[in-house]
Amino acid sequence: MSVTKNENFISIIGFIIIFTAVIGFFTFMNPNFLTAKYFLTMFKNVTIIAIASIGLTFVIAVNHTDLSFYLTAGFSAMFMSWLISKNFSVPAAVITALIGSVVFGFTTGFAIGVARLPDIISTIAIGVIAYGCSYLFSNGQKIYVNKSNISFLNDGNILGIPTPIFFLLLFYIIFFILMEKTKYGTYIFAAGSNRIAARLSGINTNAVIIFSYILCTVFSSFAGMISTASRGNGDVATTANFLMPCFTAVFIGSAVFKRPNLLGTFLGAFFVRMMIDGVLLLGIPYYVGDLVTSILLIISLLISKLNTFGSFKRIRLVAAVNTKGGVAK
Amino acid sequence: MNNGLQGNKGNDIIKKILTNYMLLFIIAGIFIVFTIRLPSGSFASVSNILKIFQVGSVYSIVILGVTWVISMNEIDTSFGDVAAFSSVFSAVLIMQVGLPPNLAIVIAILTGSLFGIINGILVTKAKLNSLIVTIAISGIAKAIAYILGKGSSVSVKQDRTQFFYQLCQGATGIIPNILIFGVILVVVMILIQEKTKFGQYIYAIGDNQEAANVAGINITKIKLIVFFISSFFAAFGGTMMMLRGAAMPTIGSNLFLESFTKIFIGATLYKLGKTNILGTFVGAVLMAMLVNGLAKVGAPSYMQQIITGILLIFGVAITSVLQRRRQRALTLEE
Repeated sequence: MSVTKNENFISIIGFIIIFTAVIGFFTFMNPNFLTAKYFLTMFKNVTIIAIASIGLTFVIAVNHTDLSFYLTAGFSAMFMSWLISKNFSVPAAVITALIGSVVFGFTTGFAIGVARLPDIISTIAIGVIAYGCSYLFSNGQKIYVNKSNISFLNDGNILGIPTPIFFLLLFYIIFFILMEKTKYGTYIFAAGSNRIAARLSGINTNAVIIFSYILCTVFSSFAGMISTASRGNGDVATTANFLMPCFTAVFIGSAVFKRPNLLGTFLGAFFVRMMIDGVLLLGIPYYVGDLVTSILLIISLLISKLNTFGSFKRIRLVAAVNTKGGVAK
Repeated sequence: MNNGLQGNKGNDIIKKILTNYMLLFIIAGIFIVFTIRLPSGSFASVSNILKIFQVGSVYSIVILGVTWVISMNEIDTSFGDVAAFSSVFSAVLIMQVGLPPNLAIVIAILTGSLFGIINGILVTKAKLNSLIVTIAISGIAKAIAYILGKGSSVSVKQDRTQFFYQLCQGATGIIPNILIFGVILVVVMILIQEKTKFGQYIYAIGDNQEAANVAGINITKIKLIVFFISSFFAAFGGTMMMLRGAAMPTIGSNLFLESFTKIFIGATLYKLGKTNILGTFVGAVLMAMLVNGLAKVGAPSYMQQIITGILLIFGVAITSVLQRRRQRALTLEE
């Protein structure tokens, strides 16, 4: 189950070529793109998407989906801002708000795992509730957060590494090992590929699903908090734009390595953010970046379908049969 | 013994009515609560009820097509941004290109429908997951809406005599035209859903795609048509919103959550957990009533989200349990 198998090498080489081409293009258009200073700024921006996508990778790996994580993240970010404005210390506020997000994650996981409710509807329902709850603290007004308190999350240093990047590396290393090198990672993929078979072979699939959903809300909430720290105020819209980039990151990742995995998610997040920042650096309005990201997502999905050139032919054959005969025999 | 059995049968019928039409009882309950809370008659007046139905029918028209997509066991998350696209596109055609409004609206609706065809092709031919495809397409539609509107909303000078304006904003007597149009549309679509092969195929594909394939249903064709219908109605809804005075590229994200709530709350009505046209219409009216009543009571706006979220999760839980029980009963019979 190693991530880098030989059969993936075409898509990996393809990704590297596209990656270098994009960097080359942006550097050609604006030489500032490849400077160390700009790179560090961009890397900080990458961390928000990358951290928010960790949990989503797990949820997609168990073959479910989550349309609520960005709304739950908005709730936790508001909760934390509110606690800080009520003179809680920053660590206490962060931990309390994360516990709040665990409640949402557990509820979603319970509804989908134990109660076996359909995942899209359940996550939409939980998302609507979380969105409503994020208005509870200030009725939708921005909550001013004293920047000196919280700046640690965005501008501080741990062991000489900027805080967001430190957390990024820490989380990615821990959860990469968990997913790829331990039996728990195998449980996740087993539950994702065949839930019944996994349960019959003694895996507690419900626990796996609940665990994945809790990770999803906790990490997106933490990313929402970093984003709040960089803005200096809690806003219900802080995390509203998480949905697209996170899904794109996870799917670019699984397009490159043929299954959801954290290394791929990280590369995907990096790629997505690079496109957005590169477009901004050229002085093009930000929404053009969204257009490029969406097109990228579709391209990466199409590539993920083309396992090798052989299966590319097969897909075209099936398509041809479908258009001609109606029924593929 | 015999009596006992009949008693059971009676119970079953009552249970069936209670579960299939639970949503109507909830609506009646909410209506009574608001009427008692607002005794001055500001809620339970004819004009206010008409207004609720008007808002409900506007928002249900946008999502009538999406309802079928979900019945087919696929999903379309792009409708909101397709609506935003056609809204801004029609406004730009009217204000900057100078086309006559009717023509501009028709062009915008047809162009918006193209997104549905792209969705359909990517889902059926390239065999991609519809959730992710439509998320990507919605990103494209939204970005184009922003690019066309240069990042902000486009205000439109309305020509009050033209056909589409009369259809969407005019009234016949005291009844708004859009309500009449919405009801006709809903009735026609219910007839298509219940009485034609096309409607049965949609639910057959949703139940068991492989079985539908073996039975000779042209799945690719049906899915393409349904994705097209979905974007067509979304685009139509978008131009309807433009006719209120301004086209906003942001309407997509506002529509997204609300619309799914309406569709899935509606799924608890009548078809036992399957999204259907009647349910969507009733769900939209329920939401319109909640928004209207809560605003009149003076409750904060987030209460609407929390209430609908809770209603939705309970609705899903109940229908899901009932579906499972029915399936178990069917397998026992066999």
